[in-house]
Amino acid sequence: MVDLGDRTLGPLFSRSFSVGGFSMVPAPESCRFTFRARGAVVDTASQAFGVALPRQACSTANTGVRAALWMGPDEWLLIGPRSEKVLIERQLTEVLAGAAHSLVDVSHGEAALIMSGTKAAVALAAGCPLDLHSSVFAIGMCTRTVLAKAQIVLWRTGPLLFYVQTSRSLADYVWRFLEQAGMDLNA
Amino acid sequence: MRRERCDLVLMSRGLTPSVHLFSQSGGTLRFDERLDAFVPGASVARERSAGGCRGIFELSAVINDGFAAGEEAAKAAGFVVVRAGSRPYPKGVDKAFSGVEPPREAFTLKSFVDFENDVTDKDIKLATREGFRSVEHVKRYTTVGMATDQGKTSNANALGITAAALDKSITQLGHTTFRMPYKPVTLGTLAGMSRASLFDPMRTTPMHEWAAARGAIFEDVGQWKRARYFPQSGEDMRTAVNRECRTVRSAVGIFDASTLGKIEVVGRHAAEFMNRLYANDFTKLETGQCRYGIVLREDGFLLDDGVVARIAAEQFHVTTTTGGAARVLGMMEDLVQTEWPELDVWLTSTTDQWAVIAVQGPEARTLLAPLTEGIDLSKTGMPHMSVREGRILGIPARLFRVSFTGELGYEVNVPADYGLAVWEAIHQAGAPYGIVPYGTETMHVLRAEKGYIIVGQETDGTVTPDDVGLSRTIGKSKSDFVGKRSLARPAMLDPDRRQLVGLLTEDPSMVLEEGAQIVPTAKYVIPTKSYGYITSAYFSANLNRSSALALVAAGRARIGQRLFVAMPDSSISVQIVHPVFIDPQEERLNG
Repeated sequence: MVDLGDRTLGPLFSRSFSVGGFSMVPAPESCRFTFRARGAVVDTASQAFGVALPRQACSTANTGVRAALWMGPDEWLLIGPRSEKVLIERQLTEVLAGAAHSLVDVSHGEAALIMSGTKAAVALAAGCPLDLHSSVFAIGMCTRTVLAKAQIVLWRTGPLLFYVQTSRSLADYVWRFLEQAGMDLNA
Repeated sequence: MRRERCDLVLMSRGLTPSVHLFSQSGGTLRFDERLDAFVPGASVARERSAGGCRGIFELSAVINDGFAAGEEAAKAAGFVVVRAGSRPYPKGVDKAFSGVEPPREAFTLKSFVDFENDVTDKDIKLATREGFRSVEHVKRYTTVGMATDQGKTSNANALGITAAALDKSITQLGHTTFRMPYKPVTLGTLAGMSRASLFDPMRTTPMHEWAAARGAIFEDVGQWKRARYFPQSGEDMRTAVNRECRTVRSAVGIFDASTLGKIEVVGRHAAEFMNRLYANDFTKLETGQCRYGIVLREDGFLLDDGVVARIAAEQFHVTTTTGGAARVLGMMEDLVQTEWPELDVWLTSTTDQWAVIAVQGPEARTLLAPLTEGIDLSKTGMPHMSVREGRILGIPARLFRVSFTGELGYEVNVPADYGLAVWEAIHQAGAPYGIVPYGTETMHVLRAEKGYIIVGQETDGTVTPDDVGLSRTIGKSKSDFVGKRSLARPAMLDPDRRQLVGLLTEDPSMVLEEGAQIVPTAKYVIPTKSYGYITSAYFSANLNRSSALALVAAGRARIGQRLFVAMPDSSISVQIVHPVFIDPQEERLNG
């Protein structure tokens, strides 16, 4: 039988954008899970996932391969390489059997891009009302916020580096909004 | 007169001090006749206004005023002030403008005061003639100053007009309350990036480009683009839709249902949660089964519907209407967080996670079976309203046996990045069966032939489950669910309530107008009693005639009778019939 396993096509496939002080590429293909739990179950999940799920609001933990982003008091976004999707699912569900939790695969429901450059924060500011100065939105911080009319997850991964995630069907809008913002900054 | 082409018109009534923060700090405003504006009076809180917000507009004066205020504050706090130095600032404009009345003939031209809420000077004068004396009442009567700019462009003029109409001074009239929060109107609001293709997000499915390349005509459903029909060369909409409709019932069609809202409901109390919210009984729904679920509002009226599948004991795959997804998720979150915090249940939107490929028609099973691994698609192995997990073309999939067409049908759910590849492969494999892609228009016709409702089309927020023939979906033995209490109110049980029925015209080619009213007699005189209205009307290629759905007072009792559809200059005789036009025994559906 035909196997279409290698025929994935993300919404930002093969895009790239670069303008003075700011460039954008799609984030590497990832697996993503929305994980919900409370109390000691979270510690069990941390051990199984290999990354301590942060308890502090808007903070992240990142090994470089896997990351856990705080999304709410009982909610985390777990990110890993797409090749580890089945592994992560198994690692977590094995230890959490019987414990109150929810692990939902949103790998394909979300899409992400990486912004970099001296004007990246200014371009984001065209549609995001948060103060993105590094003294306020520091490296390693994440939050759910808006970019113009889209909801995004924003994660500062470096002084001039941002991870922007949104719903798959809004990815084109977010990408083109940031492109326009980048062009306006260089007009 | 001269015409000018322009993208944007900006209007200014001059500069008005932004006294909001001062006023919110408890200070009282003073009207400055020279500026023709309110300015801060005495401070109440530990507050100092400086510059433009107290009516000083010229640039160098603004800067000096800022220095002065800072110095005074520092001195008052016991510090010695040393100026860091100064530099010359350019001289700016020192002028506050008052409203300029354009030359016009009184009462013949409109003078807009609030450009967002379209309030004119005449509206304000009318308010004073109606007896409103307080500026707060004039505001609420006319809505002047109540738009997104909160009066920043209109209040000053509105006060002036009101004061003149009442023959008072502005000081005597006073001003409206400056409520928190203070938000400046940014230039971005007036001339930002929300224009052209960035005006609003355009959400597309993984199969959008395929449909676009095939010449599909799209329609907007909320922010989504959905393929409405796929015309072949030379076809108009009706010809294309007729062909699509016939092919689905005679062979097989493929339909992009990815925009359907999807919510994963997971947790120890998932079934209990579903049972409390939905009118249906979910405790008896076994893993692998689906149920057509309805959500009511507290007032008992239909809010949304969709197929709910039990994936595991503590896991439900809930679908909603395309337009209702956010509403239902919001309602669920509200209930979990505020009403039932004791439940261990979590909700995750999975609308975008799954590409949904509906394969509908008598050949659907024959087509899909060889592409599927690990699922028994047979009639007994996978009956109507069941769900299975397995692989389709090597891709992990959730396969639903559900039907919004009344035919044997499946909905293939695969992770969205595989959507296009799986769609293309199924379409290709369907070629020997004469598969056609079909759009939302065909979907609407096919479901209407079966009397399946569309929330928002057959319902309008005043429709109960029984009105649209869905009493059987209600879990009768349940002690409670959202809306249950309201369903027992006398008005909800009135036998004269409008009920869903079918309508047939005498002329089989005549398609009735959606929204047209139904009246008891052919020769009616307005005002007349309305018995109800038409909710859906199509030409049905499969019936080879037109048909319609309508909500008609005591409709079920009138089946077999004749009523009339009121048209502007005439009326059309219609027969009231059962709303299921095709396969009432559901043999095709369960085939």
